[in-house]
Amino acid sequence: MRTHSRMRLTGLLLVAAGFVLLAVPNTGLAQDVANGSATATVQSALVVTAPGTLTFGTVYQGVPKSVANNVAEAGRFLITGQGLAGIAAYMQLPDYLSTATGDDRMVIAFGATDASIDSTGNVDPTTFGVGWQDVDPHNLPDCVVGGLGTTNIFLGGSVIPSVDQAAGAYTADIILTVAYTGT
Amino acid sequence: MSKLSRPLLMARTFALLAAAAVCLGPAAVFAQDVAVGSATATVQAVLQVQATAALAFGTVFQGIPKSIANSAADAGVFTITGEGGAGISVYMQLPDYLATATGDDRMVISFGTTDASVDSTVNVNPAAFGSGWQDVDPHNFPNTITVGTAGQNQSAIFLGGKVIPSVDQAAGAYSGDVVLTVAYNGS
Repeated sequence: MRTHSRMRLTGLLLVAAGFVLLAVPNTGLAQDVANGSATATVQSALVVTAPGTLTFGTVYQGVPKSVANNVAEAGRFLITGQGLAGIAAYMQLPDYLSTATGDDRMVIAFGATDASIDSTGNVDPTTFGVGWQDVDPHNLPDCVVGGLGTTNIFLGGSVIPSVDQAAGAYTADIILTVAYTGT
Repeated sequence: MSKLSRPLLMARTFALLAAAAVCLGPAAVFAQDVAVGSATATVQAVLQVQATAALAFGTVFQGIPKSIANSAADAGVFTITGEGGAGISVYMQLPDYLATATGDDRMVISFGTTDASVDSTVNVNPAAFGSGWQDVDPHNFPNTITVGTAGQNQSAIFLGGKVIPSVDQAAGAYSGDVVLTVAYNGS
């Protein structure tokens, strides 16, 4: 009698366990996870150099001298970066050239057509390619880095020595700032 | 035995037998009964999430922030399939930076409070939002989101954002992970 009861109880427990197993949900299917991504490609860094100096050469007291932006002595700035990317350029132009010792200054001036921007790979001011020709260096237009990844700015100007201008070498800085516009 | 007692005894016997018959016969069936009921359940469709399109900022320039709206073609897309109309909880783990493959530079990425939309139609085109929850916060999705609607078992999440490159950001490809976790909430 006892054996019969124990077997019956065991059987009931097995059945109950079976129901428990059948009733437990598969929680792994109640949620899911996916990995997406965000991507971006940063363009080539913008680099500006000044490989060509605006060279007035020999100057005489009281005799102004001009250098056009399309002559060999024109100043040149080289801009490299992402081809065809839009850029904004700002040129800080001096009002004077000075001696090394600073004991004399000579006026320099830039006209409204003293700059040209060549968006080809050309680096010779005398053989302008394509771009923005004879523009105002005080207000350069928004332009682009050439398709080959370079653009050059050619710069002319005028010096106006006084009649008692001290003899010697005169220099001044011209600072070009360029930034991508995102276009 | 007297002539009067025998009939009485027989009557008593019959009475007892009749009573026994009543107690032990068909009337005993009404003392219990059996019925078979049932328990039923319907397990919902499996919940599945897929990242079908990356949030693609494309070309980016040093120092120039760039934004992608959640309604733009370049928005990120996640699709959620499961039981149509079932309530789900949605959590999105968003990156703070995108990084180069070598890890030598990082670029800040940010997500605004309206940079996500949840489309409860079968539409997967961010530029053609159907209906659902538009311009919501990807850091805190609403708890009323459902897998599509009854009869349509899919929702899609469209994600926008903004990258903020530094002025000396290293050139190259950047990427970051966006992890979406979705679970049924029983509603």
